[in-house]
Amino acid sequence: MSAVSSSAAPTHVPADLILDHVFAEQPGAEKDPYIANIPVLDLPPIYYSLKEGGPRRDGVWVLNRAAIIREAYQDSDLFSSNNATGFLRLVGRDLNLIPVELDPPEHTKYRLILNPRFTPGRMNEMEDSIRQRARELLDQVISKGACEFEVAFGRPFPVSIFLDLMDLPQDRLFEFVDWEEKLLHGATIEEVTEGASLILNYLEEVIAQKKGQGGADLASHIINGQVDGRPLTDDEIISMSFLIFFGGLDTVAATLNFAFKHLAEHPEDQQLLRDEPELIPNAVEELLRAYAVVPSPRVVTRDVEFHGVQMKTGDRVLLNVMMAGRDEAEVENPNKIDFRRENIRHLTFAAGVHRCVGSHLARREIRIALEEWMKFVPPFRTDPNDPPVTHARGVWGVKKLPLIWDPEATPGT
Amino acid sequence: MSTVKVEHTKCQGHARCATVSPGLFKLDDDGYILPGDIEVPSGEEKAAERGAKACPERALSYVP
Repeated sequence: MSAVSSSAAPTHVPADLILDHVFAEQPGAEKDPYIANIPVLDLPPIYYSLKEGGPRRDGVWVLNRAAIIREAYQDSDLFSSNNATGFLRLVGRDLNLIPVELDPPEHTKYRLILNPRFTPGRMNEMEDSIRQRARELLDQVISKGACEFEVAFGRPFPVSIFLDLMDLPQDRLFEFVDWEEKLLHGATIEEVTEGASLILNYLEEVIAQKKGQGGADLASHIINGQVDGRPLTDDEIISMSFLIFFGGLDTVAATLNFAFKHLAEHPEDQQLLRDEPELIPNAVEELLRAYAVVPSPRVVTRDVEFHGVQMKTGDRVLLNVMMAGRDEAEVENPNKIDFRRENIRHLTFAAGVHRCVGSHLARREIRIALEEWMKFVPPFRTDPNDPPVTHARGVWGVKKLPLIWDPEATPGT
Repeated sequence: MSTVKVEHTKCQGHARCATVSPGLFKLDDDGYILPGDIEVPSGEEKAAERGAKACPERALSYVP
């Protein structure tokens, strides 16, 4: 690993900590970005990157060990989330994403509105409707013996659940999927902004309609939310609703993609879940550990020495959560994916006050997806003539995942 | 009797303890653990230890 020119980094960053490891450019990242990035864990626990700063093109400190990432997550005084993604500003709205871009104590007030709607108990109530959505999508593909997983299932499945959660009509599902595609994977900033505008305008329309209607859905719940004894403003309602959309769709799709890619490429693991479906909840945790997809951005709030590294107020930080589950100091034999592994514990849903509010929903979606596929779809594999393609830029993901199976076979064999 | 020490302020609602060992770890209406250390009934030690070890925040410690 060679150090690169330090000319673009702030002067307090030592040249020997500026490293040119780029997740997306590791050899093999298009086949398995996790295996391709194992060498990143040989780099220092904290290093400086001029290339992982995302659309801002700023340099960032990369926190590169599970224990340090956990510590940073748990210290929101030092590592602030305020405007850490800048996403709504990027698309022309002068708003923070609420609550993920707020720090305590402001963060807590909004988080308390969302928490009761996302508990494991609440998810039990959604179980049947989530399963129903999975089956509807599966019904479209089983007899075909092939599908592009992302298009047929990975992307529409979480979007359909979002629509149920907000009590929005399913007939616009694929229109919504298109908007999301523009928003998250648009080739130009214009396309991203267009995707954001389409979604924000639609949400504004929906919120205007739902106001005063006393609905039981999540959108109505947010509309009726209060902070400091006052109702939420329209901007706050929009920001929170948008965040539910933004946070829960691409992330779940990417995780599902990696999970199904793993099963397609490891027939013995797939067979294990068919033979012993009671292992599926543990398999979900193992897949979450091994295939974390979301990096967390933070901003340093004061000049500090952190694990021997001098950081200054305003420095940007990226938590390398993607590889945290592969850290040998944290996980024994981390690159072995073992559905019988005991005591799985990971940082895939973050830690500290910003623990993913949708984590229980995400788990439920992934578990149900695995259960339904194992139950109804015969053993599937990747297509040797059209292999999957992954990427390691931003939220890590799968660009395409063509799956094939024998439609005459039975799911149990 | 063994106990699980609960650092309540570190709980962030991952609910892994209650998922791994549902009888022992009780959550509030927001999905966060109820405050107070947990006395482990005899025979439940293994479940208590597994539940404590499941916490991503390290908010729980099992004391035999």
